[in-house]
Amino acid sequence: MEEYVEIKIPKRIFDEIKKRVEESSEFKSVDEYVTFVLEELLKEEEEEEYELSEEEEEKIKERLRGLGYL
Amino acid sequence: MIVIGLDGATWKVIDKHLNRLGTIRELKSKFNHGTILLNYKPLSPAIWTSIFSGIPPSIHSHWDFVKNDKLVKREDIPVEFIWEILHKRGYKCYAFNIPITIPTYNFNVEFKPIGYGLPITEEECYKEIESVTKKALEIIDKGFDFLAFVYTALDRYSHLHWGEEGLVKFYEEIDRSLREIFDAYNGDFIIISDHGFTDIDSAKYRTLKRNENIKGEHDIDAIYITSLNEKITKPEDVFYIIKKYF
Repeated sequence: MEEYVEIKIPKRIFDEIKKRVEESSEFKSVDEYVTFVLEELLKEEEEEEYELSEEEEEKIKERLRGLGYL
Repeated sequence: MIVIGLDGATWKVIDKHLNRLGTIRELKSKFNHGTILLNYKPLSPAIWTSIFSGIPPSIHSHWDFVKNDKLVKREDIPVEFIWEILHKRGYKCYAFNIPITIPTYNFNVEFKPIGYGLPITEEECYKEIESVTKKALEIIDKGFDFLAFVYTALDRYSHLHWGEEGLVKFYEEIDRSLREIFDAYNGDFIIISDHGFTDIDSAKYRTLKRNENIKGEHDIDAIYITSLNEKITKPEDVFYIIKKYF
């Protein structure tokens, strides 16, 4: 199972998240909410890193044609 | 648990050359194995998506790497993958070089696919085996709950070298890599292919555009070997087997 660590966030943010968690049926705790938001943020950053240029897309299509996929 | 994908692997080649494929021979003799017969067009993005999401291709409809002249991205595929589900439940999950998209898809792993996940030349195809094996061994060494990765080059090599001695040598190289992996790891596993292969004129379905270099065509006979006491009859069974395991 995954290990967990403690981090500190300002109380005003904690209180705001707590309110949202109480109003939502999707999240069971502040921890779960914060983990979800951070994961989404990290995912977005990863996706940005893999943005292909037009030239790269064309190279890929050339490979797909070479292998008979296109 | 590890899921090792051998894109396009078929018993047609393996069984004929089992004396040269010591690792697969040993795994096959010790563990549960079988053939998955597909009743639809054997297209890799569709089948890998089903294997890891439990959703059949007729529902997720992700058949091709390119749609409307654009490369399909992860967010265009309307499914949740097993590594995402297990990750949310707190398991350490890693997946890389998964051919649901091009470039091949990674989850929690920094891996640069060879030729964007479409290795074509001899050098690129062999390089993929080396780099995929190296990354898998790194993750095994680090520790994990769930790991999935795919040797895509076996499919690409089969497109271009079906029926040639070179293809058997390529299977031998994969076999050597599997030995390295199972020397480092002795937990539960599923080895699986998304479809089989045959010569270009014998295939039930036509999935590839013909050009002078294409010698093999995808076939409906996918393979599996697993340490688990489970029968796999269709690609999406893999997802449910993994879900039940955790």
